[in-house]
Amino acid sequence: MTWKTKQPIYRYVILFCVAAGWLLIWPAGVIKDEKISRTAADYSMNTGPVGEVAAIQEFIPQYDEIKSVGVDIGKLDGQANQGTLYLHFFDEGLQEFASYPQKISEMKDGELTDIVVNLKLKAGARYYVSVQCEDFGDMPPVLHYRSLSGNGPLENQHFYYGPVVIEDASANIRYIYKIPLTIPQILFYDSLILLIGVVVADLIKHRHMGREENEQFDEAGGENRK
Amino acid sequence: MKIKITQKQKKGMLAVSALFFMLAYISLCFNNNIWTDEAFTVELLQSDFRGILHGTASDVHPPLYYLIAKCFTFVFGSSLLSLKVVSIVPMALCMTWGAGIVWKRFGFHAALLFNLLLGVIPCTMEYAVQVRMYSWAIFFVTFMALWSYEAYEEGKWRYYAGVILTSAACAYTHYFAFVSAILIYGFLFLALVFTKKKELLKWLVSVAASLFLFAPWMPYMRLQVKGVSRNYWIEEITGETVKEFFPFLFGMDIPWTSAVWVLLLLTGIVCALCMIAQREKKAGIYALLLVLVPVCTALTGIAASALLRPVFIVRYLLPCMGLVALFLAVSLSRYAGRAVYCALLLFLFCAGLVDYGQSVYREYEWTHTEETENFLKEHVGENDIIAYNYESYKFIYDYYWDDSQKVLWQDVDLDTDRHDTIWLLDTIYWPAPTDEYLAAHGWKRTFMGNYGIEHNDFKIYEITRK
Repeated sequence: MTWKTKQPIYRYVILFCVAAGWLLIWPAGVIKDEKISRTAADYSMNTGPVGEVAAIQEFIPQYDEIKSVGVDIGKLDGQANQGTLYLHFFDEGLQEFASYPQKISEMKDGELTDIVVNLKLKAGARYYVSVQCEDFGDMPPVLHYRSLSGNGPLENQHFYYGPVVIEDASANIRYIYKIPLTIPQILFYDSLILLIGVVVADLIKHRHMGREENEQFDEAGGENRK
Repeated sequence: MKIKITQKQKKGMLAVSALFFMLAYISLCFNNNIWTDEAFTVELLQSDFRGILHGTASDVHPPLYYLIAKCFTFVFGSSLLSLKVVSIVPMALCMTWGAGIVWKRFGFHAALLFNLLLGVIPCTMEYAVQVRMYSWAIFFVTFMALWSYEAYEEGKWRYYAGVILTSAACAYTHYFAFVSAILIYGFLFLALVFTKKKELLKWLVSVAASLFLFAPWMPYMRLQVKGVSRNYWIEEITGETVKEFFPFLFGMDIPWTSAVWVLLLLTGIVCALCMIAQREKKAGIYALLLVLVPVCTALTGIAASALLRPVFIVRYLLPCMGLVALFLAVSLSRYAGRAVYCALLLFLFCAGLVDYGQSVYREYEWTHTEETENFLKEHVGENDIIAYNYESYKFIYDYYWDDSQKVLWQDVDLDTDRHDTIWLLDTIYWPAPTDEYLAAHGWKRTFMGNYGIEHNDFKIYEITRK
């Protein structure tokens, strides 16, 4: 059996892999673009401690899939650095459907810490995210917020500390979405997969050609080597 | 079936690739957005040549770009559009004249690849339409490298003359382009020492001529270095900063793009090593030296930052991007068979589409410049004033409004101010006036919305008497 008869097999395998790669990019959508909700960078106010009492932000997502939620807490000069912060998600009927823990010691103080949630939601529907800490030792952290008007993010609606709504307030939160790729982005990945496939095919071809040459050389007793 | 492409068709393909990018660049110019550095350029170009020299001497960059731009304004006017076109010209020169040199020396495949790579490297599209010196620096550094190779191969004085002129132009355009020029001279020296010792005299004369051409600016450079060593805005270089180099230069807004470019660069290095191993030593070593120039420029910047004070940011590697394109073009074209070459062109074309889409978003959709201008045109009355609260942005605001139309908020005396309405552009860099503070002085504020210009976001408040 010569190498030539085997060639079609590896070509089919590569073709299959390229086609599978393309399908994974579209329509399966394994790679997604990211979009960050636009919001002002500053904050001006603190809630009370988010330990016994939760801070709750009502929000309406712009897209169907949230990769992470950035939360900005104050650690009160490092005194509130223990325990776990939980993001509890509630639907419009106040049914909790997801909860995500985050070690407070691993969170930034006075800056956004992105907590990965990978949550499928319905764009345009109303949800609530509650921020509450457990096992926090002496003191739980506070949540930073600011005036809603002019700051956004667009998603945020009413902001509550416990059962009390704080007028014109918006938690200093950012939402990072996963959104589908655009056509040029799909073409970028598809052409990359094609390029990798062609390079692999080319490398295998050259390897086989090299072997053929070697075999011919061996058969000829090395006489055809320059 | 083998398709034979004629010389004419090849020329046509190169021209089409250059035209494609030129049209893309021009389409990104029809906006009125500028950021701080561009505002500085616009303001400086309002001076005469003497003023430009004085202005740059007291800044941190050398003057050649501003002088070139000033010359263009005599012919094409000083609109923002014509200033943006000034930055496109060197890219056009690289993709036509430069590609011609690459073709002659390394073949048509390398030349076409060079054009596509230069256009598609993510950071080049953004800076090709900025009213700054980076695209001119790319042109000078790339041509210096091209003519250095010609000088090495041919040993003709005219190529050394090209090296002299481009090296001096690098030094007069951007100091890190100057660093790259010194490195290219250094590599040329090493090449001559090892293989063509007789040519060293030409090299020595070239270096002397370059220094002679740069000598008039040296005293000013010394003053600039002194000034920078006392005070400069660049932050300390850390591991995190260095990690951001690749995403800045090669990252696009979608995942893994930096990794793809790193992979391409590694493949290029492997190809160059194979060239060296397979008796194409000169071209292989040349390709490797091309990629060493940006690496050594970055190392020099990092070392200078450690010794002096932070003076280097990744943007200063932009002048070397032509060399990166040339390195990849020379090395990849050598080993890409027909199928791989076509697939590579297709991939670069698609990458160009993504890059272009991103640039369109950045130039036209991301900023609120047009809305801001329209809003203020509609609302600011004759007896009103625009107030801004971040002094450093005065450069930017000067481009849009003259001094009779605007004032620094910190200079406003609310008790004596006679304007009907103050339109406050409220950035995060200064505390916004509270309702209580305004009420104490007999004023009130109304939030009008989020606006901004290029990288400068602000809220607009309408401040009126109670």
